[in-house]
Amino acid sequence: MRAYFFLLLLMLLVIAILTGQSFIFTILYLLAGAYVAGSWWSQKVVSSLTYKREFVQRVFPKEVIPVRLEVQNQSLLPVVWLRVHDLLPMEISATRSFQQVVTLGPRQKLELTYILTASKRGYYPVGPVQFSSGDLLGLSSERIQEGKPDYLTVYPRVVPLTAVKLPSHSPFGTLRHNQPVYEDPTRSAGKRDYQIGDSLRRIDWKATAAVGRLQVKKFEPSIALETAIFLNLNSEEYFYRTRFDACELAIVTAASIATWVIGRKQSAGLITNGQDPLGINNQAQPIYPRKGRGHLMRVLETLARVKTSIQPAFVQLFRQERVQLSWGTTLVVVTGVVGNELFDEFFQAQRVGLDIVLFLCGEAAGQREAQRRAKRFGIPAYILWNEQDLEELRM
Amino acid sequence: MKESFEAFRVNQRHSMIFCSFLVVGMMVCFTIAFEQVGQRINPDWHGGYLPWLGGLVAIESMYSQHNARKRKGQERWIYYLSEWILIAIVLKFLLYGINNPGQILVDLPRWEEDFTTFFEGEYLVVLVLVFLVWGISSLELSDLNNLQVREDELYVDRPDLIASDREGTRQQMAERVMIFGAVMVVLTFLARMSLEGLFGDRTPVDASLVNVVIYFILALTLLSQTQFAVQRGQWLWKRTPISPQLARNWALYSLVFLAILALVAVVLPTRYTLGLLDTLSIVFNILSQIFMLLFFLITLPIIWLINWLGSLFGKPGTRENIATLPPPEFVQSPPKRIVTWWELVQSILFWLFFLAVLGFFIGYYFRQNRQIWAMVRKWPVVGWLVGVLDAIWSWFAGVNRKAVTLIQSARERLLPRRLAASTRRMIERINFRQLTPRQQVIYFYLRLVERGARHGFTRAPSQTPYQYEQVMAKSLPEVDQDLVGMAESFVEARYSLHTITTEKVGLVQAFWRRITEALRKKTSRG
Repeated sequence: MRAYFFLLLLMLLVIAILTGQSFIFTILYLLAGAYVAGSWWSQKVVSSLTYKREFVQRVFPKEVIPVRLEVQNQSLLPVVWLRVHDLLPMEISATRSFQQVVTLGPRQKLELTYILTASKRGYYPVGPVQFSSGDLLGLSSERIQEGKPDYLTVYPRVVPLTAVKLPSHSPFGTLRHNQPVYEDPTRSAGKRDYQIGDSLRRIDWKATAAVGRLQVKKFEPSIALETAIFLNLNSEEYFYRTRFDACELAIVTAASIATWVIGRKQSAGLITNGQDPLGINNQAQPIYPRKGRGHLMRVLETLARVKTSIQPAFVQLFRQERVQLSWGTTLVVVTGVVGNELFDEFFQAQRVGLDIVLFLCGEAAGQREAQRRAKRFGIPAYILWNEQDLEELRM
Repeated sequence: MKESFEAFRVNQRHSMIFCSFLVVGMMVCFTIAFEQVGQRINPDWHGGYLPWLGGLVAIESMYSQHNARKRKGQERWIYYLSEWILIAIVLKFLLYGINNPGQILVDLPRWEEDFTTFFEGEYLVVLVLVFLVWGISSLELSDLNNLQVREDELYVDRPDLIASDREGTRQQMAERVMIFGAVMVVLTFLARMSLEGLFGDRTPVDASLVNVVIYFILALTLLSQTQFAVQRGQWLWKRTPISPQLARNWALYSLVFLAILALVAVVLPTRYTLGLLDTLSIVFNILSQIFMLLFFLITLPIIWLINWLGSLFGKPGTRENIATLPPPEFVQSPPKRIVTWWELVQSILFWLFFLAVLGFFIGYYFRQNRQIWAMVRKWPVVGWLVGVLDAIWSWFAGVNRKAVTLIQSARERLLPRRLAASTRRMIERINFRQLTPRQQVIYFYLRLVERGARHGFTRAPSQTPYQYEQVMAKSLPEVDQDLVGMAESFVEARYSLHTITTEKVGLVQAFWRRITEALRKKTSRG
């Protein structure tokens, strides 16, 4: 088509030069103008397009997310046709992309909507949006403008745990404890008569004056549950047949424990060897135990993004990070299998005053044996084969 | 996708109707060109009916195409044959009606003797033309039908094959339209040129260009519609839903675009008074004169200074020497043709266009044959020339970049003022009574920002409300507490979920009044 067009143009030019007929120049202007102005028009309008994509960027699984794509033509020239193509990941959309052909008047704004479904945990790019348009005659090639992607974070599923028992030796917390050694001087539990050996600092002088006998304050024993969740996402340390599901289960377990701990106004942190697309060198950065909803959201966001990796080995990470934690911290280890080397590390950790709870996710050989060995070390160990098992921890 | 095929159907219907009108229009323009040539051959002939006839035959051919599609094989050919015979008879009687109705009674007995006399003279020529128009219109409509998308294409295994068919059909249509365009140009040329060998001493007719220009506008519009049809096929293949207004806008914008282009093309110069070298010489003369003037203006103070310094040392007698010099001999220059500015502009525009088209073709050729270009570039002269052109181009690009940077920095300097103006316009449109207490607090703060900008306290986009408050408090220490209250109230209303009461609004209003009063006093103090 283009070749014929130029051939006609060339032919007319030759005839015009040979005959000197002015009207042929008029036709030439018209045809050449149609090509030049048409190309310029399509280029101009495509470069003057702006867009805005609006949607809730953080959601929980099974939520439906309406996406609003607002396209505006900033130019005074109309856009005859515009193909809007927004790339979408398969995990959150039934189709691989949203596409529509529209027409825009001068300075017109258009709103396009589509729906995404958060069916799976993850960190997904929505877009990039691609605008393509062309000239009216199809003489020049299509003009394409590409935008930037926005990101959707789908948090992992959180199973509400109610009856999990996490041991702790960290004093001065908010959780009641039955060991009087963890008495908290800020939590008064009544008065009693003075006995020989009581510290003078515990005498309640007002109560003594009122009763007429020496009275000492009784304190409630309490602990602080400072929890560091060690999540193993080294895919080679899971049984190869159930690797994918086991890793997902491990992430859901970590998310549920973090929610449970922070929900009880205690500190929780997350240390994992998984890959984080937003981490330094694609490596998830450790999140040390802190309190608060904001911190929980940070933990959940990391859990939404992380992917399995091959390096580094979990033992190495455990050895490296446990020394950063304060005395009495509870280490919740979520992994697939536990080898001798890791058990050695558990033993070392216990010796320096850290508590350990073990969650073994996914089916793998030797899990029962590992559970028995853990018991011998005084480490509570849970075996979770699927989310059903995790839900049973609610009892 | 099946549901959204309805939009394809709507677009297709609108496009087909529009294309039918285009084809009729093109056929009318085409017959006008024949009429002009006919008048050139025989000035006494009145062919004013030809355009109408062309239009009617085009409409009829499209209608019959529509009907014939329902018939198959032999039945279709019988339908066409009967139609052609009917057209031939109607045309005969129409010509009698136009020229001389009484002639029919004279000719009737002659047909009985020799039927070949039925096909003679004007009738035969017009009949050929009518069949030509009928054939072109039918072909166009048939191709347009082939370009349409069908719902069953949604389930085809190899839609790419259909797409390539469609591209081929479009190509055919483009070829046909361009060939007939070229024929029209030749016909118009024949009507306007004085070709004594061909037409003897018959004077050229003042053939109008309008029909040729309109033909090309309609032809390009038709080609744009075929492009739309090809695109529709591709969108259907990619399962892309389309807007139902697409056909309407495509038709409208292409017509407007080509009409504007045609207007520009008609206005642009089509002849030149000066040759290329003459035009270039005049342009260089003008440029050198401008350069000399600038040079003179720049060096004028230096010349004055040198003259003044020279006068301090004094050299008497110079004036007398000049006065005694004999006057130069008067030489009569040959008479020159005076070129008017309009002729010059016309020639510049013409040559610019001519060189642009030539350059475009050369560029297009080398883009298609890159090996040849690589070989040509190796020639020393061409290589040097390309290097010089590249250097000039990069210099222009650099100048352009600098100009853009300058304009942008100037715009940025003006931007705060424009922002303040836009905020003011936005605030003026708000109905205060309809706002919630939270919105009212935000409203007062925005009014403060807008008022502040008018008094020289423009809030930078990076400034937080507290930073802005501190800047204002430095100049208005008497209301610093009100400023703090204002900033805190705004932050609370804007970013917290606290309930904002009407009492709070009253408080903020009081802050606002005191601050604006302080601003007013500060400005009146100067």
